[in-house]
Amino acid sequence: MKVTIDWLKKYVDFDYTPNELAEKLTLLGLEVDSISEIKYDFENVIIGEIKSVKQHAQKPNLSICEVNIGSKSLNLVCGAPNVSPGIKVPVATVGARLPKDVVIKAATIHGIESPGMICSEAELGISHQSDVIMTLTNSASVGADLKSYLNKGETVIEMDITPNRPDCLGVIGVAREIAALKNAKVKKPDVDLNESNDLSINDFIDVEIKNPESCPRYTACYIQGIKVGPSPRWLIQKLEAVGLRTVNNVVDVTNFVMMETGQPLHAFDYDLLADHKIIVKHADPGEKFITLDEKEHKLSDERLMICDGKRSIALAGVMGGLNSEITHDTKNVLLESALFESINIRKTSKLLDITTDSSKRFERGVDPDGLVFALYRAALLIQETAGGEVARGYFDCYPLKIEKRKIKLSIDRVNRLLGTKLNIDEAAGLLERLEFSTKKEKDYLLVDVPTFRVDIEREVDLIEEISRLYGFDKIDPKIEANIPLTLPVNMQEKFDQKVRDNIIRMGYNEILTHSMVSLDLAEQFSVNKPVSIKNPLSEEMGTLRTSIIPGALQIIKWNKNRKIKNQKVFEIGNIFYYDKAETHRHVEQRKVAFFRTGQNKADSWCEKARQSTFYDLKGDVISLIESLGISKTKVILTEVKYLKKNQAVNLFINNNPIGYLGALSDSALKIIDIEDDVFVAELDIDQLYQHFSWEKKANPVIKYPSIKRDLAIVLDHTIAEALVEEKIWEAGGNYLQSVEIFDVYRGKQVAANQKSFAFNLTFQSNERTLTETEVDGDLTKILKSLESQFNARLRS
Amino acid sequence: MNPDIKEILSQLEQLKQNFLDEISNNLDARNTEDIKVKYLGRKGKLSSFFSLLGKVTPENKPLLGQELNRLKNFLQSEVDNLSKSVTKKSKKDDFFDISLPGVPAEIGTKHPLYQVLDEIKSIFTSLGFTTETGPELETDFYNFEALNIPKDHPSRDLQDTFYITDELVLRTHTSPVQIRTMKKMKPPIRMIAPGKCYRKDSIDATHFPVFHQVEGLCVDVGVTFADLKGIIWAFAKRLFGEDVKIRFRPSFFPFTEPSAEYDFSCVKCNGKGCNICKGTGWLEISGAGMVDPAVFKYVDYDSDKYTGYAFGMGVERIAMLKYQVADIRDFYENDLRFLKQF
Repeated sequence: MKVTIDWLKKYVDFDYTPNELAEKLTLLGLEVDSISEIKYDFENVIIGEIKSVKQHAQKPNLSICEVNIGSKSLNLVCGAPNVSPGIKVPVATVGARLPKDVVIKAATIHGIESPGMICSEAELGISHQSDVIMTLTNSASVGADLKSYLNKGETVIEMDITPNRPDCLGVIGVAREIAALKNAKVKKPDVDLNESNDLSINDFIDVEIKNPESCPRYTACYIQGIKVGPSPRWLIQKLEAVGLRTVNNVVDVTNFVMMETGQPLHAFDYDLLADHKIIVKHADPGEKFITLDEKEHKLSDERLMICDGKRSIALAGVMGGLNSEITHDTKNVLLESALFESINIRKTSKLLDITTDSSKRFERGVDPDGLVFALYRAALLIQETAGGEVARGYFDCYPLKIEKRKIKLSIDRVNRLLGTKLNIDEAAGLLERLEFSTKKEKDYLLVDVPTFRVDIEREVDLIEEISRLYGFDKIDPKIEANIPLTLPVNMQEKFDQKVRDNIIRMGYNEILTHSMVSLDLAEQFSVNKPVSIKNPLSEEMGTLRTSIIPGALQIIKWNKNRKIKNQKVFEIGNIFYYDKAETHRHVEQRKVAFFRTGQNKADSWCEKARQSTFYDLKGDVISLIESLGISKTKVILTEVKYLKKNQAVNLFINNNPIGYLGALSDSALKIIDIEDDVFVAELDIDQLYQHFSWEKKANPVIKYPSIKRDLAIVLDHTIAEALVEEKIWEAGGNYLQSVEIFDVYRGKQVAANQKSFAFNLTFQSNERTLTETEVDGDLTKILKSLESQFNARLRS
Repeated sequence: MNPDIKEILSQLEQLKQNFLDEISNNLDARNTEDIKVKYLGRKGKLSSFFSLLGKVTPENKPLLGQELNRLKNFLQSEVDNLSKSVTKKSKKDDFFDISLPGVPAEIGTKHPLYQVLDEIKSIFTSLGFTTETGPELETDFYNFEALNIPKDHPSRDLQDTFYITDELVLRTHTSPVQIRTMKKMKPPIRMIAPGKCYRKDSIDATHFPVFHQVEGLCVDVGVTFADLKGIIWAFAKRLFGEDVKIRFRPSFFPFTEPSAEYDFSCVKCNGKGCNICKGTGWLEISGAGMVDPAVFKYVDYDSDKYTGYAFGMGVERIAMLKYQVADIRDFYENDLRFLKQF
């Protein structure tokens, strides 16, 4: 919503600077977005008077005007239709500068020399009016600079009006707020209309409302014998200042009054109304209608229409119809000022995707008691600018009377909510300034709500009004002394933090992606059915991620493209998909995903790094899990469509699935367009939490010395290390403390289908020092077991 | 003719500079002795200046004396600091290049948005607030209806929404967690709800379709607007320091009444006006207000008995202010060169 300071001053006196005014409005809740000054962007344009007009000999649509510019007369060529002797016009002489740095030079137009140009408002950058030249009033003095004729630059204030305050979508509404602040009254504009003695409204129109639930009130008046033409300068200037385009005097007046009062109006060409009737009713199902902007709409049956005796003529409250618009030929006008129900208008606007200044106001709510004022105001201004005779009276069809709201306000409530110590008279005083009327009853107020405040329905709404005008800054911040310490801690959230911190300790960089991917990626990286957005920003962001992987891979690629080869990144976040069994039900799961690519670490001058492998990532995952105090993890080879065939495993804790890890397959890498190997793991955080315990118990460190032994065996190359380790533990006896593999070998020194494993075993007792002989005995048992289980033999 | 005192003083300044250069290029503390001899020795660079004391005019003599002593003491203390606990270098020592870089440890980083979020959480935890969470895919009821944002109401325009179905949306704020918590618990409630939110905003330097919000709620007997101002005041000071001022101004949210926007005084210019605060001296942070009785009705709280306040804040907005990040997209680009700065 834009207003100019000069416009506001017509209704309320104040002498704030623009910045002061902006701050005051902002602190009242009308947030000011910008303050700007309208500046004239031209130089050396002077006022001239057309003395005579001749038609161009070769081009009949051009005129040659003799123009007196004070110091001399010039012959200027002009193409506008509205040049005529005696009118005063702006003249850009040779050397004058127009907007966009256009400098006027002498030109020869079809053989006639033209030392300058008569300007339109568009050429001067004053308005968008480009088809006619700008005409000045008679009082303009010939030879003077145009700037001295035009008003000084106006200051425009643009506000962000919240949806609850439609009353401030009119300049008078904003003025009311300033008046409240200054404890003054607004000065309402003139509506002292000169009504006809001969013509009476009832002879011209009949209004019938068939759906009063969608149109509780409809008023109209009739103006006969008007002359449609361009608007006067003051009207154009006001409208353009607040961002509206000028159309013609009648339409401009309806827009001006809407901007002034907040009440949208519509003018129909009376002679185009069949049977001189207005019927307000819901559209016929499937009805087609062409609006002013020449677009055809197909209507559903709840859309409210204004109809004449035969057909629809306007999309009520949203836009007029092409079939009844005001044209240059219009002589008689029917002016509408109505109240349409908010939700209906909003639905129409949304369904047909038309938002207008009118629909915006109706969907927020207009003042039911303000209709007639706006109607009279517009009739008066149409008469002033377009002439004509206004028929006596107005038609008022008001089937659903809207009562003024009365609200009981307890002063105790006011203070209980705000933390203030206002007394009842102070509260009443504040409300009165906002045009509420109050009556004191014992310890409460009976408050009458003015009809323009459609947002005030409850006691709490009045409390907000009081606090607003009283000033939030007068309410002192209070710091509570007793902070409750018994509130429950969200342990799951705390676990999230722990997981995050532990991963960061392993040298991973946390990334954060936006959770939206293309449907294709969502399908490629999951077996589940993805959840798609009905109204996405773009196709690439059309579906919720089914896995953290595709989004993160795009980040990895981004960084690879910036020459960062070695990456260790992770993300914690939610994934989404439709449940397999109940396909309409969606699932949202919290996951943590790890990614490694490039070398296992950065090359340094004293040590060359190697490429990361499956085992690097596996180590990270297991280290994370162990750092959380969870043991009994197991991996089982599996198949995942985007992982390499022999490097994809499911991870289990206590035989419950937690997630998977592996190397991305070549085809998956191709989808994202990454060349290097990427190792990924995705675990379910909530599942992981099931196996986690916040309780920790310290185990005493064993004080007796340990004995270490190496055990190297040769066995069939297809036997998994985990199985061998398991058997070592089974056979190893009570003193075996740890089993660590330190070498895996295949090659010339063993047979072709054989491999060698070398383990480091630690034996220790927590009761005494073990002897070498005891340990040798245990080692023999282990070896025997491995010989019988795997046909293994000691490597010599 | 007496030597020019100005000339001498400038030579002394040059000598000091040469000394400092030499000290900073010296990578082996055992070499310090050589530097000491060069500058402070009997035939060192400084000693020659002392002989000038007799040659300058009598009125300049005290000045020069003072300067010479000051410089001598300075050189001495610099040399002493370096050579502490070092024995004189033996010529037979092998050269070991300590200047080669150490092998860097690999240190991970937390995403800057989560660092800020953690700080916000820890402030509110210390103020007695619990942390509550909820789903990102929300029903229309929790995201809108129960927050007094009915269907077909212009207040829906305040938030451009991603729809999955007519009844399922990507949450546009973490306010639905308030409803979920109030449905689960009875007052007193003091909670914050941090999390990812989605709005259908076109992407530019200050808008991204995904953002993180922290929503706060406190409901009890006797909670007032003054308490709301108190909590925001305390939070502002913990986050941006003692000098930060707060400002509340009226606004509109369907789920609070009265509703306010709250601003912090500009952290860069301290309220004087600069490019960050667009000259206003204030930074818009977010919205707040007293819980609307209509919301209490949805969760069966007695609004005659209980009152409450609610507030929100955008994590990106605060992170941009804290780290002076000009473009919100930097957080979601995840360029490792950016992330590793935090």
